Amino acid sequence: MDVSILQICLISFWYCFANISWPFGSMGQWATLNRPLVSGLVVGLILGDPVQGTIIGATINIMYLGIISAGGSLPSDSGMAGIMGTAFAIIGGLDTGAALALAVPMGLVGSVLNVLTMAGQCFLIPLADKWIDEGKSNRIMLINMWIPYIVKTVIRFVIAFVILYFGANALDSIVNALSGPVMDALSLMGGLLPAVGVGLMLLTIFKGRARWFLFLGFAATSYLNLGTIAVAFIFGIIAVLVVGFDADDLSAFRSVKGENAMTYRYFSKGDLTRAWLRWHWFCESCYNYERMQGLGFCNAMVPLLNKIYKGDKEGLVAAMKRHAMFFNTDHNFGGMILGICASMEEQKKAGADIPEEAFVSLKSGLMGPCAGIGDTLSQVVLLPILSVIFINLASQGAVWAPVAFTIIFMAIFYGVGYWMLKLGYNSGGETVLKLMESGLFDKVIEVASILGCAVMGALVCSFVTFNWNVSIVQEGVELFNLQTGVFDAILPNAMPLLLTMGVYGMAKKGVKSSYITFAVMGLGFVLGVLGLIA
Amino acid sequence: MRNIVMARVDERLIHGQVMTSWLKLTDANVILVIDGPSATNAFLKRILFAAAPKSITLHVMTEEDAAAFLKEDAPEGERVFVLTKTPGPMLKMVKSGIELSEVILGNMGGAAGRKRFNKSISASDAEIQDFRDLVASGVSVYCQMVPTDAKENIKKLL
Repeated sequence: MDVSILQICLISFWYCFANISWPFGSMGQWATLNRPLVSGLVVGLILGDPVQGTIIGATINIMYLGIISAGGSLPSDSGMAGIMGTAFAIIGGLDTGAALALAVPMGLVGSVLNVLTMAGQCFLIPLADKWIDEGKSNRIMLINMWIPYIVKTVIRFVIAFVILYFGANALDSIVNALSGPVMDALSLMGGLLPAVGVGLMLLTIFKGRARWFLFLGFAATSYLNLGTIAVAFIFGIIAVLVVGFDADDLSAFRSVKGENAMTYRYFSKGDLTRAWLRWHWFCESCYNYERMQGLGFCNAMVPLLNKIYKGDKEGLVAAMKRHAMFFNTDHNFGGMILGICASMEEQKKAGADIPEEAFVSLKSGLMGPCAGIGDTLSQVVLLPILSVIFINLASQGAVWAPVAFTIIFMAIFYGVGYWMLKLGYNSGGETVLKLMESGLFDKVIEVASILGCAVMGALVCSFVTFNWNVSIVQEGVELFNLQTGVFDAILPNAMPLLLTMGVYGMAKKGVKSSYITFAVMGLGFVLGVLGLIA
Repeated sequence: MRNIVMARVDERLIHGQVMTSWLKLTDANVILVIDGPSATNAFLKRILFAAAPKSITLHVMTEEDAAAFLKEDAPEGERVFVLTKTPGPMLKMVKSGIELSEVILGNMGGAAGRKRFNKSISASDAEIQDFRDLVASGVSVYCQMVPTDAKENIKKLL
């Protein structure tokens, strides 16, 4: 199809919007609008084919299921892959397999851009430090949010526009040049690629007794033809029963009393909410290698510090400095630490003897463990499992699925985030510690691993396509067919499972995900060109 | 002397997935955190114990205690992973006669008074001097965040 300049501008704008964190929150925007599942629908709407866009986006999303961002590492950019892969597929009239093949290099372009962004934002730190030194607390929003967002949006828009404009023009000639066997091989290769997403996902959940459930989920779909949602429902219940919960697991929450004598002495609920929203929206708007979320944390504390240190410039400067140090953790747990710091600042103001070192130790002591638990819960548990259910619906053309996914994820993140802020503020650090000591997290993670493994087993069957095209034909009569005669008769989908386990094995040995992706692409292309798979 | 399988500087100490990958690689069964404030503050100590994997024995010690601990005879099969926030305690160990062949540097975050000299490492002048002293005492110091990253010798950066 022909694509207009207006459509290119709209898609480029969407790419910019999906990469800022307002109004859905830093994690919220990244986990919803920036997913191929959601951006597929939007790009489809812009190009006049929402159903096809949703289907392609959902398929691309599977490849990025197992890619998480933890410990400051930046994986392949699924946002760029989803937007460009869907756009080129619709413009060029390609099938989902070929769309996947195009999405992979786009994801790498996107990850290079992200690395440059994080490096570039380091240059804002000296200016931020200068303003902090001068006590100009109201300028922190400018340097933490407005400047990086404006610069990034302009650069991102130009890059997306250039890729789309020249890509769309070149697409026809590329597709024509590749038509026939090469294009067919690319499509077959695309059928193999979802195994990469599933295999990488297994890296975090395929352990202990949860491992058996991969094969149970696989069998449920392969032999009994159960859908992904049915598998998720059944094995969700089984997982809770297998792990088993008792009353002690929730005791940490019960020990937190609501408002107490220590709370709301200087801050109102509105102050606290305002600080949390600044964290929720802008904790990573100036994410950089030097301080990570440090400036974002300081920016969130500013409304509170302004109130406490009114007329005390020296105190304000010292407080801003201690909250602008290196900080990096999970977004929801970060809100909890914000609550703890707010309560400590309040007690300090009320005369409690809380030295500078207490804030530094608390923040640097909590951020690591909290990131470990929080990243696992949100990026390994919630996001992929929720995604899988809606990807399954979207891949059948349900345009409402990405919308429902976004709304549900958002409700959870706003709800849990605000609740954790309150938990931190009301209890000081006590609840966090009790939770970490109680073993509740381990149980939740095991439930999720069991459920995740079962769902991954089902996904292998429904999304990875690997069929042998090997047969012996004599005088027009088929004597032997490797796929239908052997594999389908004994264990349907055995090849997709083997391929997925192969990806898992390589990832476990420490092979980088990009190398694995290229290895699978190479395998699919060669087998496809040779006509060994169909 | 105890069997040290790795000495690592990482400000975040026991940081979820990053730490897990190193423990797997080194097959360590004991973590020794050398950090004065963490060893003497009950709250910070609890955080560390709550964060450590259940299968690992964790010790949190001051520099003096750690040096004495490391000098003890190694029990059969013990594999110790030494973890500090800054290079200072590592230098102290070397000076008290503990043999370290290499120190792996993970993350030291930016703060006022610290200069950034690598993607994830910032250090103050005093800390840079500690690195120089470590290198001068024959310890190889490398920057490496996760096991799959390439090792980068710190000599070029100092």
